[in-house]
Amino acid sequence: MSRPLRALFLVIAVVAVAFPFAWVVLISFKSRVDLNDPSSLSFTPTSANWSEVLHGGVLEAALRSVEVGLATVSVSLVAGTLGAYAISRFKAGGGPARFGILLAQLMPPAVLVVPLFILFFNWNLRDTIWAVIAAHLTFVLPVVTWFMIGFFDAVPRELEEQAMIDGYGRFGAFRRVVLPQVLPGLGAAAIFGFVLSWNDLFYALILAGGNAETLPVAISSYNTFRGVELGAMSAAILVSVVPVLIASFFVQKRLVRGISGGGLKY
Amino acid sequence: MAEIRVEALRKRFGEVTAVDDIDLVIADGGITVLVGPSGCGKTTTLRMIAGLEDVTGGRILIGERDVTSAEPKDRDLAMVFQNYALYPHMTAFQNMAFALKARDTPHDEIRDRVMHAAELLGITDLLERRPKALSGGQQQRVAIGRAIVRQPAAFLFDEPLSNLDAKLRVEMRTEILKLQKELNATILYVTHDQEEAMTLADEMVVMRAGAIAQQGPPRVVYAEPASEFVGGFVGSPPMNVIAGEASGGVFRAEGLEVPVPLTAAGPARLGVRPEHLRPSGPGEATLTADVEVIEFLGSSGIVSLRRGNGDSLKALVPADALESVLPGAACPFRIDPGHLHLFSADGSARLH
Amino acid sequence: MLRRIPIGYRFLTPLAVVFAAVFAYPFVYSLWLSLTNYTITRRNETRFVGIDQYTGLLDNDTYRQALVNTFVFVLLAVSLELLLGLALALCLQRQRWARNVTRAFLLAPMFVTPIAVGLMFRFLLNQQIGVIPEILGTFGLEIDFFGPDLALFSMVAIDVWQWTPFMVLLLLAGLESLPKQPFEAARVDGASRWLTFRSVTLPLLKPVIVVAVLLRALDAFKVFEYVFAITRGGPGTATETIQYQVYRTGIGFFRLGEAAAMAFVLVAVVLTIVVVLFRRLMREAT
Repeated sequence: MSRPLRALFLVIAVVAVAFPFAWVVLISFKSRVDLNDPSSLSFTPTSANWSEVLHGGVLEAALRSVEVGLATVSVSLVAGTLGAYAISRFKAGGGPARFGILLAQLMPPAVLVVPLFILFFNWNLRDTIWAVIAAHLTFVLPVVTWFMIGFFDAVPRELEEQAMIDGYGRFGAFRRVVLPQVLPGLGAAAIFGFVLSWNDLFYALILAGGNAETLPVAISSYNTFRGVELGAMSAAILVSVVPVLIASFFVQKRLVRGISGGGLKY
Repeated sequence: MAEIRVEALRKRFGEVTAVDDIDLVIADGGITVLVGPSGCGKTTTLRMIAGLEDVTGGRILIGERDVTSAEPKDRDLAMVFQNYALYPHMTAFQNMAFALKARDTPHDEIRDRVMHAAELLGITDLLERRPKALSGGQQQRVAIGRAIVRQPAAFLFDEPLSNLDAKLRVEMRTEILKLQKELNATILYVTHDQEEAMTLADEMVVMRAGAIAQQGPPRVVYAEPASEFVGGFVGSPPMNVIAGEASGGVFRAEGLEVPVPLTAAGPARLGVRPEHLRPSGPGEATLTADVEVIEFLGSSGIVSLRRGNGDSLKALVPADALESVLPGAACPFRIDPGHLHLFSADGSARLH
Repeated sequence: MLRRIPIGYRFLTPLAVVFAAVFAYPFVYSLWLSLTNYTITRRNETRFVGIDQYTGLLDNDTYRQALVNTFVFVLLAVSLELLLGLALALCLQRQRWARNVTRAFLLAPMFVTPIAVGLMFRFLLNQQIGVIPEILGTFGLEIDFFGPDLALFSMVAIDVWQWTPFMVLLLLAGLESLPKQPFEAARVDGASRWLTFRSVTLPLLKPVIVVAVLLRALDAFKVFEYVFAITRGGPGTATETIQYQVYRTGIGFFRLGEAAAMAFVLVAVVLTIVVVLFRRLMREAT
């Protein structure tokens, strides 16, 4: 491809990505009347949609999503990091351990949602964030562990051996020398795990669609064909999208190494 | 400083025996070098002494203390790794201070000891840098400094120079020798480079297939190799070996006859170092061979020879004697009768 | 006592415990459920029915349609994403001006909440109030993006919008970590750009392509949000997918045993694909 052709292609791609976002931003400032004419660009901006959304439970849902995300990521980081170190450094669990992590990553949520639904129903935990946290662990934990295996694989063994000769035991060497090396990767895994949890609709909808709705569930409840809700829905969409987009800028570089298990750098 | 003793040390990885009942004494205040081709068990031996590898059998003593199953941190050893293993997230100073901190050494003492070691190595102005901002040679110095600071019972070096370029390697070799004298340190040093081994060693231990092939001062190992393997491994270019027959004090092979100080008779192999194979007048020649190529080194040259029966030989000839050697011509050569090595037919033993 | 457990397993324990609790246990439970007629409104009548749920699915037309739809969806979406992603990655690799900004920007869609993407496109493409049909209308084009003929392809298009960036991310990383020498050798040999791409770039990039396609395909099988946000499986059964049907059967009708069986058929299919692909990959590697 020649240079101008490449540039044109990229410009088209950028527009294709930007257009929906721009449109949603625009709609979120349109009044109900102006919404009837979808392509009009001349209208009086209103903040009615935003105030409706911010007072209408979306913030509570967002807060709940943050709680769920933080809890899921915390558990995943502790268990996943230690486990990944064991798998990477000591080949603990051998092939089955690595395969199990992979299997968990590709498992369709449809398989696990049924038993989780019944279990939480029986334990009276349905419609609580505990159910959602447990469900989110099923996919955040494997992803975080997979990421960390890749990052640990890249740490030279000699570093911790040196630390052990320098006067630390196994755990001391892990904490003071190995862990600082994977800290950037740990950050990327945490943010990516959080984004996965933040974006989940399937589990949250089924296990806690009522009193404990997370942000995606709250957004989906704007989904009615009464067009009048359109502006508010757009504002709600933006509430969920903006934090993730900001977070994404911090993880992009390390994401590739995580996804490919350390096999690729970006 | 202390002596390290290794008794009947053995290591198996599954079916493979990496180290096979080794006995070794690493003398206090000297450099002992383990040398051998890759896979000979030298690094495994070092790692077992460091405590990084479990021992399958045998004992390790540092001083009078049995450390066979002690944790690495309790052995009071310092180690320098091939890739230096500097902690990337710490400055040179922090790297050197790390082990002292681990042992709760007072702040002032840490400072003094790090500064002292840094002066010794000439790296005082690099102390605030991270490893990434240091050259290979500088990283090497920090790694050695980190070991010195510890004032350990002994130092372990695992091929510390193999990541440096040729010039720096020679420089660091001298540096390590000076440091050793200054600190009167006990050093166990592992390398695959026989030249490095000879220049550094007080005691040289040649290993092969998990066992010790020969042990002694470099001079002795070079002058009297205990087997064809040692003769070939130590020295460069490697020793020439000619298969033949010994009887009545004479070694005979196709196209040559050499008197040898040996009475026994039977098949044998004659070892001749390249520097003991010299061009000569036709009258005193031991053998005649075709000159293939000459690699000129400055003060001398390596001459590749091919004998009538197809054997190839190498001779190390001083520059002033190179004139009589012409590529493409058949030239007379003489084997120095005072520097012969005679090995058994399978090469496993020295016959005189 | 603790000392005698190998160090590796001591580090592994927390992971093993959490994993067993949230993953292994539900997984096995789900497998058992798929062999029963468990219905949450009639729990007392639950009994073991063997593979009845599975054989029942054979006669279930909607389920068969959902399987077909899911496969068409995955196949189309992933192929398009691969082609577009590769083209974009090649452009981005040689781009000089505004490099990092463009990259960051083009990757954005893959981080967006899928339900938000679904809703965004629902209204962008809506026949009455959507802006895209209106723009197309000024050119005289009347397109019903969510009508019976196009609905599934619209879902594919939405997936392509959101997930092509994922391909770009991996392929670009792959391109940038390729060794330089083969390309220099190709230039010295006088190979054209197209020949270089076909016989140097593509073969070298193959392992990355396989991994990217595999990851993307496995994720596309889980498609749910777009269907839930836009068509709810319709019109008719035009956009029924497995994941959505499990949701409807299990949560809508409370027939959880049947839902579990539906899910496991999908798992079996997915695993077969993974194993076959992996075997081929291994054989080529040796």
